Amino acid sequence: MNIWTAFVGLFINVLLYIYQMVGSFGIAIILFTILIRLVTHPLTVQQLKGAAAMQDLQKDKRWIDMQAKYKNDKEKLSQEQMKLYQEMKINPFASCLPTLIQFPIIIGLYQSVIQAMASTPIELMNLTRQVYPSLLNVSSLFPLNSTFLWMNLGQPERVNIPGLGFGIPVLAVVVVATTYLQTKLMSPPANPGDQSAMMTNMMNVYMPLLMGYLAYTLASGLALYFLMSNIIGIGQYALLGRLNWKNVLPSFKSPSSPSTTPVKAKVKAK
Amino acid sequence: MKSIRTFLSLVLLITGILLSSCTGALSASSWPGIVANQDITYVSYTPGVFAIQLSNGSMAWRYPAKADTTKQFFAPPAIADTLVVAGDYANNLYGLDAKTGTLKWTFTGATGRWIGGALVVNNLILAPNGDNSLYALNLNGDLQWKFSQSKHALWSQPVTDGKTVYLTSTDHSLYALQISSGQKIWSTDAGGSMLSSPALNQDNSVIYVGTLGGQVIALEAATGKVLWRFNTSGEIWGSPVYNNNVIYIGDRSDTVYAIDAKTGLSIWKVDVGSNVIGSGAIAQDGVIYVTEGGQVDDIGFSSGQKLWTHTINGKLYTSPVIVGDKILIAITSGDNLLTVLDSKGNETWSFVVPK
Repeated sequence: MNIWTAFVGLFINVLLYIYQMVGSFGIAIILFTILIRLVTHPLTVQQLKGAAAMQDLQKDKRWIDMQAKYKNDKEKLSQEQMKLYQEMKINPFASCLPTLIQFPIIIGLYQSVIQAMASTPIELMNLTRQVYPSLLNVSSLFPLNSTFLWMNLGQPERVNIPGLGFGIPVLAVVVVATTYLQTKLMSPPANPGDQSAMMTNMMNVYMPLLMGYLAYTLASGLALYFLMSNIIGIGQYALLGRLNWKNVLPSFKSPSSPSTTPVKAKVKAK
Repeated sequence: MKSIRTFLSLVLLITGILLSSCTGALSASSWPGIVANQDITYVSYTPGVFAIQLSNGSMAWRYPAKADTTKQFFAPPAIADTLVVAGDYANNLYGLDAKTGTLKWTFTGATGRWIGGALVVNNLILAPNGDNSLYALNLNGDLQWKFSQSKHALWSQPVTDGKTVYLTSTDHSLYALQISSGQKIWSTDAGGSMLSSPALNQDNSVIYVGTLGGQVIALEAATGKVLWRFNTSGEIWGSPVYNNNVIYIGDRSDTVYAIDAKTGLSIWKVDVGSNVIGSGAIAQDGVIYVTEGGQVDDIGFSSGQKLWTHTINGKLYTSPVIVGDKILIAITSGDNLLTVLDSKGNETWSFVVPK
C-alpha cells in the first residue's frame, strides 16, 4: 500500500465512521468537511497572517523604492527583495503552502467519496480492502444510503422539472455563487498600481467557473464538499475579522479594515 | 508573488483536469462476463462483446466493430436462440444477432449501469440493472414489466424455476417474483448484500444465497423461510453451486467450502491460496474454482483434494464456464482475455483482444 492509498484509506475510514454514526452520507460529508476545516484551521490562520504580511510589505516605502530603483535589473531586485523578506522575517511562501495543502485534500476527498459509494464491483472490492476491520464492518455498511435531499451523491446533481427537456444543475450554480463570494470576500482590497490585482481579478473569475465545472461534472458528493467548504471558509474568515465586504458591497464601511491599520505597527506585531 | 500565484493557478487547473478525467473513460471497473453455447462463447469486457469460436479460438465478430470508449461492457451476455443480449455501462441494453453481431435493437429505458447478466427464459429477457430495477423484455426489446422494489442496485443474474423469479439484491434482500407479472411473492432480509446469483436445488424447493457478510443461507423457495445459515470466514462474492445435495462456495478468506445442502453442516473446506470471487463450475470429477492470484483448481467432490492446478497470468474473478470437455477462463488484467483448458487443466488455446 503506497502513501497515497493509505491517505485516501484514512479519509474513507473517517468518512464511513461518521456515516456509521449519523446514517446519512450527505451529513457525513458535511461533518467530514467541518472536521477537515478544523484540522487545517491553524494552516488557514498561518495563510492569513502570511497574506497580510505580504500586503503590508508591498506598501512599505523600501519595497516601493526598490521596485523603481531596480526595475531594469530583475536579478538585483530579487536579491533586495529577499533581503527585505529576511529583515522583516517574512516567508513569501507562508500564504501559499496552506493553499497547496488543500489540493491533495480535495483529490483525496473525491476519491474517498467515489470509493465509499462503491458503485461497481471493483470499487466495492477496493473499499473492503481499505476499511479498517476493527473500526468498521463493510457488510453492514454497504450499500450506503447515498440519497441526500434530492441528490444521489454518487452522481452529478440535476433538478428535473417536468416539461423541461434538461436537468438544472442547482448545486453547481450555488457552488459558483459561493466560490465567487468567497474569493471576493477574501481578496485584499485592490490598491491602485498593485501588480497582483490583475491576477487576483482573474482568479476571482476563473476559480468560481472551474469549481462550478467540477461541481457540474463530478459526483454531487464532491459538489456538496465544495459548497460546505466555501461556507465554512467564509465563516472562518469572518471569525478572524478578515472579510472584505467592500469588495462585494462598495458602500460598506469597515471600522477595522486591515488596509487602514498602520503598516509598521502591523509588521512589528508579527 | 506574481509567479507564486501563477503557479497556484496552474496547480488548481491541473487539479481540475485530474478530477475531471476521473469522469472520462472508465478504467476496468469490473471483470469480464462470459456465456457459451456448444459452438461459440460470448465474452463482454471493456471495449466490447466478443464472439469466439470454441473450436479454435478465432473471433466470429465483435460489437461494436471498432472499440468505442462510450460503450463499456462487463455484464455477462445472455443467449436467446438467435439473439445475444448485452448491457453496457452507458445504461443501454443491446439485442445483437448471434451469428453476425449486428445490432437488432437497443433498450434505453434503464437509468443505471448493466453489471449483472440477463436471464432468458420462455422468450422473456430478465435483466437486472444498477438503477435498482429488474426489467422484463420480450425478444424484440419491448418492456413487458418492471420490478422496482429493490432499494439498491441489482448486480446479479436472477434464476427461475419457470414460474417464480428469484432475485438477489445489494439491498440485503432476496426477492421472489411472479414471472408473468413481476409481482412480488415474498422477500427475505439475508442480513448482507448479495453480489451474485442464488442457486436452486434439484427439485427447486430450496434456494441458496451467499452474502457479503460471509453467510450461506438456505431458504424455502415457496415462502422465503430461512432453513439454515452457514458462516464462512470471509466475504462471499460468488454464487453457491448445488450438486448432488452438496453446496460449494468460495470466499475472500481464500477458502472453498463443501456444505451439506440439507443440514448446512460443513463437509470439508480447502485453502486455495488466494481470494475466491467467482462461483464454482461443476466438472466431471470435481468442482473448478479460480482465484484472484490466477490459479485454476479442480477440487475433488468428496475429498476436497486438489486434483490439478493450472496457473494463469492475470487475476481470475469471473466464474469459469464448462462446455463439454472445455473449461473457459476469462481473465482480468492478464495477457489474454480468455484461456481454454481441457478437462485435465492443459491449455488448449487463448484469445487476445485484437487491437
